[in-house]
Amino acid sequence: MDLFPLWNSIRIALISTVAVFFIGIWSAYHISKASKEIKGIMDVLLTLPLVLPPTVVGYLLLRILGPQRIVGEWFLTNFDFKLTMTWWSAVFATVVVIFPLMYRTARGAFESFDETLAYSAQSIGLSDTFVFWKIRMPYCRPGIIAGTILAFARALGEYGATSMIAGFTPGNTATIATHVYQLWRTNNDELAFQWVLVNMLISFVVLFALNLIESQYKSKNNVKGGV
Amino acid sequence: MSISVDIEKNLGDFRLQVNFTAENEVLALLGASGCGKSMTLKCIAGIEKPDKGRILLDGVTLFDSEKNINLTPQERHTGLLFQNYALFPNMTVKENIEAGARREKNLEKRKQIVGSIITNFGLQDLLTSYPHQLSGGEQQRVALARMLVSDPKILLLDEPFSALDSHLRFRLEQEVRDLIRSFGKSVILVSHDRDEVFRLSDKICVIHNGKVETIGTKKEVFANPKTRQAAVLTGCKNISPIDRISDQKVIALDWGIELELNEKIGEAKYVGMRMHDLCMDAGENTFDCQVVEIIENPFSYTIMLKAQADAQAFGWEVNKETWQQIASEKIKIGFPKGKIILLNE
Amino acid sequence: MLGCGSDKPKASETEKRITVFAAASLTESLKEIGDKYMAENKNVKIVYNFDSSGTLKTQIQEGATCDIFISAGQKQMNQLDIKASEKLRPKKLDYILEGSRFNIVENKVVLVVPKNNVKNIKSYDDLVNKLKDDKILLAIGNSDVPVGQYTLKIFDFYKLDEKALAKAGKLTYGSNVKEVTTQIAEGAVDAGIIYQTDATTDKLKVVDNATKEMCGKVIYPAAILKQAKNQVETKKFFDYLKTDTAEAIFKKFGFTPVK
Repeated sequence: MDLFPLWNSIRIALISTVAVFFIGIWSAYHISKASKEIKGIMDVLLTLPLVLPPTVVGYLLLRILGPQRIVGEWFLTNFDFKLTMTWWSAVFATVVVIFPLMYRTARGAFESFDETLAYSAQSIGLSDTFVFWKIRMPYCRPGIIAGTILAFARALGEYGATSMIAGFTPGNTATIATHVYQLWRTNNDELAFQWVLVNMLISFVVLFALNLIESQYKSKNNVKGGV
Repeated sequence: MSISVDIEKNLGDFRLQVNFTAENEVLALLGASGCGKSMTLKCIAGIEKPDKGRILLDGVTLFDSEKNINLTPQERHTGLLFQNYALFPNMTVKENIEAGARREKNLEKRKQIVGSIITNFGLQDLLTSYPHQLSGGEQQRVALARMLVSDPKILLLDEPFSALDSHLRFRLEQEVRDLIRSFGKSVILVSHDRDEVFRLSDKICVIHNGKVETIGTKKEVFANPKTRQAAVLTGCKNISPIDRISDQKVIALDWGIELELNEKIGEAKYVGMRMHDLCMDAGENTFDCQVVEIIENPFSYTIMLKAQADAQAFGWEVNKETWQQIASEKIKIGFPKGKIILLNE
Repeated sequence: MLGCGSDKPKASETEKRITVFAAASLTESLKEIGDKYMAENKNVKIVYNFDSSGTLKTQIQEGATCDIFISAGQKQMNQLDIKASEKLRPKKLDYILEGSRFNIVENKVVLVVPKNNVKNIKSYDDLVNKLKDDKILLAIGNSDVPVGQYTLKIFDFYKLDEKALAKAGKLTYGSNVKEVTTQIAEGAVDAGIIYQTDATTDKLKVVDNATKEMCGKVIYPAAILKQAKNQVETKKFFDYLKTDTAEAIFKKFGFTPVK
């Protein structure tokens, strides 16, 4: 069994999840501090990829990153760097599709934070940095871990946007999802099913590990937080 | 140690406009929920910003809208205590207190002050516990310890006893009273409980809808609340609008009775009479009243009386023994001139 | 048929229903033809079921209500036609009304390129040369769709090794036609092989079309089914499909009428 789709899927999912972890937390934190109007608009915009069918997301991405469009062309002429139809194109698609999951969960975690903890900390002289890392984050961490789990799981299953922007080139851009679809369509059911099992196994291992971390963390810090 | 507050802030439904000072004493901000008293405290602590005004603490300007001064909460050195104590849930008791001592850069000294406050508050056995494992009273002690170890210039207590059961309250109130005494500096206490306010404070500032209605020593304020709202907040339950008959005679419209006063009516629109100030042998302002309801309290009775059949009732609080001796359907009751409170709107 | 308790109204007063099962690629063209016909024949209602030819054939077999069947290849029609040899009709089915079958339109398997045709692909021959030597990315359909199968026939004709091309990263398989046409329109791929009708719909630039030798002809046979209810009306509409009006509409969408 050619294992390329396995490695490709895992690296795409890992890179996307890490990227979305930082971008998601950063935007969730700053937007939770913004005015009601900005919060409302940003929430809608940033949750949009969740609502749109993945193929539409892929289509829109192609229209931005394609070689004839502004961004795509810029990279092509200046760096001879193709943004589409490569394995990392799948990263763009996956990041966009999983971002809302991380963002909304992190947002929920930050919103649930009891501000009086921050106020008390400030009044006894603790710096804002200390407050963020030593008080706010530990409180919100279970929610953030949950968001990461969701994002990674979704990343592994991402198909529609990836297919549009990265195509399906065996050995080059194939992911587990697009590979399974291909096998299924060409009546290679048995192999397809084997891959489905592989996918489920990875997901199970990762989700189990993350759940373990989450419960350990919760009991150690007695935090009631979470999604 | 003195504090001077003169601020304004738009709060949507109303405008907060307060102006008071305190000098090495306990000042209570008494008012109903949502009147702006907690907001005032937050403005002093620096976690909320007034629209304009000045706040001075010990000669240091914490806030001045004209000079564009607005110190961060960290720079203000205030001690802020919330109802929920705000203990950091992910830290042990020891770590919580140590967090409060972080201003002290010298590690040796820091260890020392942490150690001594732990001893003072008797927290030795709780050091490795987490906040959720502590009782309400223990949590308060830790919160107070953490606050004091940060060496604040003023204590700001936001409804410190609201979260407690009544039997705990008494004991913890005592602890806080001792603490305040030994603190020696100014304390601003926010509460809606008039008894607690009376017990703990020296000065009272009554706030209603963002405005200061009355300010003075606690005795002054209770004796002479000045406004109807302040009277209500200080626990006066018998209040009636009045019409002027002469300079020192009015008719209480709700109760349908005429009252003679000790002083000139002035601009007053209401009279108030505390329930326990009514008495049977007042001499003056006495009326034949019909008992309409007898309400039993744990240690007293509240007798609802009507002087006129078509008027509203007013209440008389009397202890149980006395009532048992004089109980009847008709009572002669009097409004002593000296206890009549004249109130503006 | 005195009508007591029966709620069958007089035939001439009711709306006649004609059910048409047709290959998905005929969707827009057939709908337009049908709408035109219905505008001129108010007592007729044409109901469509567009899907892949294989699925439609199976539905007919399973007893679906159908009056007219138009498939995207002879294979499915053969399976239902008693006139076809037993080899082509393994299940010995007999659904087609004798004499009604005819070839209605032809589709072409075309080579399309992005507007700016960066790799300057001029024809199938040119494409094949470039596939061998240069770094070209070609988008094709999966082998489970007819256009994918035709593509493989073209590869065979040019003696190209599909697997080798795929391994070299020169092929990308689209999940559906829309994906392929979008990728071509955006220039994300250098060329694609699709139906003329899809190229016409998405206004893509066609540089060549496949000959009979390369992949055979893509012929769409049409037939009236034996089970058709309103035989008269069905035949009338069926004949309408052969008129110049219908032919013009088919041409508009990229089909080639069969003479």
